[in-house]
Amino acid sequence: MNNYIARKKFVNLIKEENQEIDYKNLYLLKHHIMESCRIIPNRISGVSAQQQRRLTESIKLARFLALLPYTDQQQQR
Amino acid sequence: MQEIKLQHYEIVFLINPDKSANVQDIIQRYESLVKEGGGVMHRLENWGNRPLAYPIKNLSRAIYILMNIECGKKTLDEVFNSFRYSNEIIRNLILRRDFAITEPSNMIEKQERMEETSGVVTAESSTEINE
Repeated sequence: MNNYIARKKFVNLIKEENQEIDYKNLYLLKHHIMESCRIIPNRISGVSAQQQRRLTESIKLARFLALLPYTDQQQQR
Repeated sequence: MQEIKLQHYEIVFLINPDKSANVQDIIQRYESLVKEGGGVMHRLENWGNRPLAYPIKNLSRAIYILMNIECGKKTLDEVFNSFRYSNEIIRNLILRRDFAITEPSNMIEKQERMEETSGVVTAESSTEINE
């Protein structure tokens, strides 16, 4: 699916800006989720497997704390 | 006298903004809980009244508190029980850490960065108590 679309350049914030992978680091986490609030796979983002695992864990923690949404379909009342 | 093995924990909890008359009282309760158990509070942050990404218990905002403590298991159990039976605290997260963290977290720095760039002073002031 995604292989047929030309790859956009994805900036690796962890390497270049030395961002820490932490559930509190929303600047980094928001960079790794799509508009639909799904986690970007590392074959698109180019992040290493170990970093992707830690990112996924942090995103899921941030979602639990309502710092990030689970989906864009949820509406605030 | 048994030696209490102290371990480091990072705790984030969310307070219902309508029900909490005084956030300081709640924070003091936990500070004294930790001290009585012979623990140390390394970092305490109040991220203020933040909007939630999705409604929790029909609320759209909540007060976030971050604590980094070093305490024994019994004290942690007391803290966790108080979260469970509290009416004001709607969500909590307890993480094990290997060492004490005392630097201000990203959330406080981000607010300061946003204030600088936008030039608008936010009404909520982020309080930071380091012990």
